[in-house]
Amino acid sequence: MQPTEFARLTKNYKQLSDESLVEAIAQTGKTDLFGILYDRYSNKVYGKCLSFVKDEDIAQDMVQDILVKVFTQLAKFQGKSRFSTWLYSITYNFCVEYYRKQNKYHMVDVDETPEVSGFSDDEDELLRLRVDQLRMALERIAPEDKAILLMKYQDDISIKELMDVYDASESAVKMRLARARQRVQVLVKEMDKREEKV
Amino acid sequence: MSNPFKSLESEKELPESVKDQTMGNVYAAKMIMDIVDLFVGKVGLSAQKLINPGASVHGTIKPADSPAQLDNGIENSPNN
Repeated sequence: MQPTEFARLTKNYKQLSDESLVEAIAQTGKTDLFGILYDRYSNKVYGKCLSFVKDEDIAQDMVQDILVKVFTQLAKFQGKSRFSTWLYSITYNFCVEYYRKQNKYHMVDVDETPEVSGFSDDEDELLRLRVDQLRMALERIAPEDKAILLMKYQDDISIKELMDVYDASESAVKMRLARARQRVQVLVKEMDKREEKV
Repeated sequence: MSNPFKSLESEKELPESVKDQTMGNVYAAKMIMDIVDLFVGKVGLSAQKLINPGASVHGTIKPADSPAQLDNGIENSPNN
């Protein structure tokens, strides 16, 4: 195929939805079409990696690994959820795994963290937090909690889609979210108390 | 009410070089996947031949070596 012909076809493909593009890649075997998905999502993926690692070079390497992984697993995308949801779930899994490996001697397992009963689980209260409070709390909670909160409140992934991501029931997903919200609120209150003492 | 999670989103952009590197890795991955497919395809074919020696890829049937034929072969060998 002539380069100009390919450019014309690529231009047409750019108008396709993510899901149709994935289908087109599977049907035509044209690897170049993945470049369109790269253009749409690479900076988003980069931003998510930067929320787990501060080093930009490491985050850039992670983006490469994640997107190659996504490409090799395209056949597994069944279209049950949006492509972006599927991509972000792979991204967060990768980030959580990376974070765990890097901090294996310092991390407390999510299941071992103390119960936070007694704290109200108020979604509005979470969304009323200041940006600096939320940032500090997210840096301290377990990466799994951070991931589910970012998916729900930053990426606007619905409960139904989260059920697919976690392969869990609605009540299980809601429970995970509630616990993650409570852990953030516990940390924020602890930070507030420390500030008051100073 | 503004959502503080949205304010935490990074607006940093990847350097252009990362796209070249990523797409290079994607092409390499595709090549490996094709080679694996080819290999798995051949192994599958060989496995099929082992399971069903009478079947041929091109649809022609080759007579299977029956135990009787093998016995005959032994009986007719020059050593006997």
